[in-house]
Amino acid sequence: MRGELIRVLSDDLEVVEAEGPKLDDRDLRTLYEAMALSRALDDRCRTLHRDGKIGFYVSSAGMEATSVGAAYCLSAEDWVFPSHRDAGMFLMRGGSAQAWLDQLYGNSDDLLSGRQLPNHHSLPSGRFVSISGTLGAQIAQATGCGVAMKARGDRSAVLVSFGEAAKAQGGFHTGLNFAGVFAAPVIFLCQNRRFATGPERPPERDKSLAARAVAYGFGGVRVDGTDILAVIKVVSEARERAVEGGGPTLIEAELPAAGDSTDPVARLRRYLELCGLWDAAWEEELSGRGRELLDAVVARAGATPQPAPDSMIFDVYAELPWMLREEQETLMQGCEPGDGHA
Amino acid sequence: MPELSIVEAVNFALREEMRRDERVVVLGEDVGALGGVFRATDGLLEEFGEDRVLDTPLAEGGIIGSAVGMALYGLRPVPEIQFVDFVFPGFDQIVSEVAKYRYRSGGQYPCPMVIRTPYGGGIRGGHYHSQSNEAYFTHTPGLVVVIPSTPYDTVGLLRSAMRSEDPVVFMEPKRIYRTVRGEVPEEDFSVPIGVARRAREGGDVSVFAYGAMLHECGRAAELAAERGIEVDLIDLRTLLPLDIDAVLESVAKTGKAVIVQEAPKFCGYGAEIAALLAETALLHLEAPVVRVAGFDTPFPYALESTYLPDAARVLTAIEQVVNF
Repeated sequence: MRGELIRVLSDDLEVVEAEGPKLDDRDLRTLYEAMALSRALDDRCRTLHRDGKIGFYVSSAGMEATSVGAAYCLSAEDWVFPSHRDAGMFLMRGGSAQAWLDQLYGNSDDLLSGRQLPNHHSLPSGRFVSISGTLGAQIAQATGCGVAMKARGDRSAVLVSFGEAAKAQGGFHTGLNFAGVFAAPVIFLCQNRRFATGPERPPERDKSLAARAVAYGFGGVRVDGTDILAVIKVVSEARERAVEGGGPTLIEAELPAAGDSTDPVARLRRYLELCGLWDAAWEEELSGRGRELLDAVVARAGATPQPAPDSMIFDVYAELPWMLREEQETLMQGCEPGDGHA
Repeated sequence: MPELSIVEAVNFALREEMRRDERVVVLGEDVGALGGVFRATDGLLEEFGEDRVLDTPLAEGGIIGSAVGMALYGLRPVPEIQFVDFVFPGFDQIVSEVAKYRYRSGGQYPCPMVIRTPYGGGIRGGHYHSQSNEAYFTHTPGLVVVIPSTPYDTVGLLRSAMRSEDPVVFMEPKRIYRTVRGEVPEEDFSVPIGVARRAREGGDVSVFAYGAMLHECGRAAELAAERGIEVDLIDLRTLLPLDIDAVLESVAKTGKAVIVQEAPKFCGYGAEIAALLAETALLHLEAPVVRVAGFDTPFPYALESTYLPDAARVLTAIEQVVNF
């Protein structure tokens, strides 16, 4: 009923799929470093949230293989329409841990000028698009971006990431329907953690999410989202298809449900160990470096002041209309004037 | 200088701008092969091809959502919503996404686009083809809202909208799409956003209107003139941002104000003008501000001419404030 689950590594970490991605030792270690940093960053952010240092946080733990693996497959010209749990993707697209933390604190160094709830980053330098609070709003937008790429003749692709809750939204249908109609170069990546809000059909009456792609006229695949090699295999194939004019692909990455102990970071670590690419000394070095980095960026983010009060009124429009100029004056009575961007 | 109707002016402005700027693309339901349900995009597919004129599936959320992705990628999309009454499946994209992108990204992601959409009653279209719901958009920071009432302004404002760095909701008065004609220069002129136009000069009473209602007000002003009342008729043209100076200057001169809109009165756009006058022009006012509006009901089908403000109702309001 749910179709084949694509895996490259078995539970015993044997390579069960000969057509896996071609990665050399250095690639594998780089991927592990990225996943480990993403996890360390997430651990630190959860602590900050628990300690009341930041007002909101959603964890990306368990999603490192999908987020890092998918981003690994993209080129710099590709675009990413992320969800708010894509810390791994943010780092892979060139975002710094400092930029991540500054956004969570909403401080005056925040690239977003403190405008958004934590986890709603944006990073134009990485073609990592601003994140909405409305689940699934980015899906049709990603399709439009792909349509524009195709119309311009650019050989690139769009990756849009969303959680399984978004599949209940109208925007999911609209985005996939438009993508099918226009054969847009889009990779739809659903990171399914199986904790969507709201009731669902029982499994025996539900096909996989990937199966829905058939109705839109393109392919859908299910992949083990804790197996970064499998993620890289399916996303690379989807990207190749998109760039070659083969249209979109829907990927459903199955992730550990709550209480499931399968950990994608530990999985890659054990695989590297089997391959002789991991030892405790390297792990110690990695975690030490991570700790040092995070100590520094957290200290700096926490010490950076809030944006100037009147920064609030900028970026509504390209230029300030009269109402906002008046409101700025009111706002700044008794305050030091700012330059608008903190 | 060719004489164009308003819908021909839309077509002319789109065509000229698409020739000038290859980033401009048009998308929507039936905008391509059919040329638009009102023919506003007639001939564009033939001239510019299907990469720039996209017939989309029937889904307003998909039309606006796709336009967002196109705008972020660097195109200048001009999505059409066939009737503004159909906008609501795309409303979330307009209000939560288009209007917010620049702000929420700290200015990193502007989202310029022109959402063209016919609005308003008087075509026997019933509730779902007649509404004047501009206030939903004027209550949304981040959007620019424009409503032209002449072919000249349609061309000039649509050009400015397509060249703006901000998203513009461009509402077209479909009732007068073909009935109002006027000369439009062939050269590349534009009309600035945020600047009102004095449609008729007078010293006795200010009348503020936009779109199709401007013409009802023009007729009312003629009738008033026969009774010795000179109307200062202001075509607002841009609702957001409002040309506050034009409004205040007119009221400083006349001391009396009538505001006309098709939309329901309660919390309508006219309420903002009335509130601004109360806040900033109280000492100029010699009579209560009067609003002439649609009724606070959904838009009715059989009784549409009863519902819509007309010259007689506007004249009654003019006489009421002048004789106060």
